[in-house]
Amino acid sequence: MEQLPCELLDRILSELPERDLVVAARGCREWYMVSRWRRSLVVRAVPAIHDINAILRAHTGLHALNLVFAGRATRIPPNPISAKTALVQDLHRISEQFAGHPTLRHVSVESDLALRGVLNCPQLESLNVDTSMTYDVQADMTSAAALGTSPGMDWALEKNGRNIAHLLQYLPKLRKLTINRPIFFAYPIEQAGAGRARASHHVAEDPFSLVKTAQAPRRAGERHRALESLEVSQLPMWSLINMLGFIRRGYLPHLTTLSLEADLHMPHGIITSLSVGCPTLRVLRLQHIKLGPDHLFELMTCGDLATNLRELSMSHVEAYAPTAHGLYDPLLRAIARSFPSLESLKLVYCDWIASPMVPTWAVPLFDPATPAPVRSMRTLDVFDLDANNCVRFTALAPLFPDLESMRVHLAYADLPQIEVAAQFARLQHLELRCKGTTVPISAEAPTILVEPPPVVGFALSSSALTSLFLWTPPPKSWLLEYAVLPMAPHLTRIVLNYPSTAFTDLVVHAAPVVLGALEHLEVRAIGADGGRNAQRLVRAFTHDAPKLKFLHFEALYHQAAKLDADLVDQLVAKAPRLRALEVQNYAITVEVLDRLRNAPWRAHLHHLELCGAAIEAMDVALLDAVLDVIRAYRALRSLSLSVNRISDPAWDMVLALGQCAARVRYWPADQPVSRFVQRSDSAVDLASTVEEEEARASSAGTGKDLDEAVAAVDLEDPVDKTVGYLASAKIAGERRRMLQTVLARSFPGIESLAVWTKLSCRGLANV
Amino acid sequence: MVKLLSSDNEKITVAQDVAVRSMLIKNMLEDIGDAEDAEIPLPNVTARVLKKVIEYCEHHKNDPMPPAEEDELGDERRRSDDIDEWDADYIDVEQELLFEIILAANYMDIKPLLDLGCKTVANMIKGKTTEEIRKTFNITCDFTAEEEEQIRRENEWAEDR
Repeated sequence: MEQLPCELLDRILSELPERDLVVAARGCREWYMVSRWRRSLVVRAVPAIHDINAILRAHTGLHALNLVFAGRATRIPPNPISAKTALVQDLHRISEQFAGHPTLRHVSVESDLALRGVLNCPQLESLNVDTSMTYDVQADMTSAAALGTSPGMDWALEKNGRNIAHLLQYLPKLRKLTINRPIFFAYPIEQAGAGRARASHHVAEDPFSLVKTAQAPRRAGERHRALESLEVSQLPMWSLINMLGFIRRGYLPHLTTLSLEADLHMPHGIITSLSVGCPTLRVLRLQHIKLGPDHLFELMTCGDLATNLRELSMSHVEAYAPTAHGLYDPLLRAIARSFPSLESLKLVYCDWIASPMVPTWAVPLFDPATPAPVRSMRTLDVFDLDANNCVRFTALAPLFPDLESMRVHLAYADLPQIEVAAQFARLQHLELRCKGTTVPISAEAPTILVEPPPVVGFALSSSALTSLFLWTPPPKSWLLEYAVLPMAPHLTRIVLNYPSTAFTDLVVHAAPVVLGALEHLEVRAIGADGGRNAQRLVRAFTHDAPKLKFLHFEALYHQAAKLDADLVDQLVAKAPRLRALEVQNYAITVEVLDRLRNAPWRAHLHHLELCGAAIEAMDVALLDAVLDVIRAYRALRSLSLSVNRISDPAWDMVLALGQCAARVRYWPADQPVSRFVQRSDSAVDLASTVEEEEARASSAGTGKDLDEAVAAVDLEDPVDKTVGYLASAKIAGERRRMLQTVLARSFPGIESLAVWTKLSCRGLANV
Repeated sequence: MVKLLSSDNEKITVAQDVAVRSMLIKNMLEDIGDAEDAEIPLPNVTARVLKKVIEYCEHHKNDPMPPAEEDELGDERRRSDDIDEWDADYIDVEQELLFEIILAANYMDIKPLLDLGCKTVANMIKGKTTEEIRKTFNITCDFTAEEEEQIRRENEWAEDR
């Protein structure tokens, strides 16, 4: 190790998550020194952070800081409210301490209070402020009340400094700003206000030399020439109007991306403001906005802005269109006509209102003739399952011939059978979803949409296609007849959701499809025949799949389907490179497990999931077979198992779990396996959720015993979202020891294990 | 074909498309132009390591070339457990050779191999205690007791999760 120069050591250490890094840093002086070079830091606001500035000061070359709320970690069961509140306070406390850093370029914070420190980051290029996790309504109401009585400036500056004009004054290099609930004053705040804000920050008392109290902000009213991307959400109306004024006056002359999310009626003149104030705008994203009757037409006819627009995204927007019936075809034509440089278009669940009359100047937009093709267009997303508007694919191809990705989720998509070989020659990703009829999955459970309405066929051939996603695919014969599959030699990914029996018959009865490039296959079938259909489809697609790496198939039904040994034989023979296998809601037998154990992928498969009602009744033979598979799979890093019923007395404690699942995270084999029960200190969250009844049930053991039993090993790190925990409060005393012994014997080289129960205590008592 | 000369004076001939996985060799080849018999000396790499490195280049000769510079924000998303299966087998060597490969990849400017080596070492560090790390990599602790305590306190926040 000594032979490695520092820059290589730095490279190695930068691969480590924070927790491992600080442990490694204690190795020796050189490692400690190098560990301080870290460029980016994710700081979870935990109580142990006494002085955030000391931590930052130790990292002299820091470029990116992400100060995150520590309560976000997904845990089962979730954190109690009280713990969350305490963590919010920690976040605010640490954020308030933050005093800036001279080399930071990218900052992401989750509390308003960090914004004061942000002003002292002169090199800042991107800032992300998202307080939605920690938003305190009550505190905000108090502030809002204060706003009524005191000058609003004081609130904006001294309370939370969300005034964009003010932030921009201090951050001359900022290129990207993402902020929720921002405040816009029409003019940047005068110097006096800024001075007071800084005084209130106790700058003088802060010994942190990085704070440059002498730093003069930019002149008020100066244009901000660096800002390219502005993404704002949840802003109030007055703030939005001020923002538009701000933009119209040309304060952000180089803005190229504007993203707006607010549940507001757009004021008049928004389009004019944009086209006057930021002529360089290329990307416009609108979400939850209510557009006025003329807004869309204005946007389509606003000269340079329309001509140069590269990306238009409208999500859950209310907008007026000439007619709500059969809307998408004329709308897409008008869009193609208006935005000749468009590269990406996204229309997601927009609420289209029939415009009573189209203004005369907008009428030419809706000429039924086909406009010139938009050759720059690469991505099209139209999601609108509520509407009966259809997209005609034959009409779409002349508009956007060079599409690479198309995702259309519509109640009814019109796909006539017209062979146009050259249609969408560059299409790589196709995702289609039509609305179907309903099929019950059990007496009590809700029904799920399966069968689409009688959709006409679909013609598409694209040799570039690599990814195909079909949701409730139509039963007609377009899939095979029109050669999506045989003519897609590069197809690597297929996802089929809710294929009908008719569709399955079609695929199975067709000539074998050769999918030499297929790497990823997911099939989710539903209903009484679902289990069979999914297996038939998997068999049809994998009769020769030398490159298949990921396979998921599941049957959505209240009864588990039988897993055919034949299918397993075929997989074993034809898919030797499998890396991940997920089988859901199938009954697994010893016979199947024996076959799996000897599969050619046993040395490489790293993820195995046998879930749902995968294993109906567990007896010793079956359990042994499962353990044999786990032992044979040397590369296994993740295991998910679920068991419905276990009938052998030797497995009493697993019986108590009723239904258990285990998730295993790979760890180097020289780690002690018992590690997962050692850290009982972090068990608080789980322990507090253990019901008293369960505590009594385990009273055979001491209190300490229970603590250990619920030892929750929170192994989550920001890089790897795998969570390992042992929530086995229901396992006490002798049973727990038995479980440990069994685990230690059965899972060599496995560091953490999660066991959780799905049944309630009452259910357990009945067992 | 390209002729390479290792530090222990062994001549190794490799195909052009394999050799240019190394940015160092690629640049050198561009510099010397068409000189057929030119040997490229690699004074920092022994034949044993060079052969191992060539094995990697051979397997990855058809991969797309990695982008020159990564976005700085990118390193937050980097994962150290997404190692390809062939790569994992390839890099499963004793520690001394592993470090030599890393050094050679750095010298010869083969970014994916350098990444692979660094990720592998990082995985060896993950989950270990400081003491275990010292033992694994044969590191002598040169901290005083006070320093060690100070660093422990400084880092408390990161371990508490």
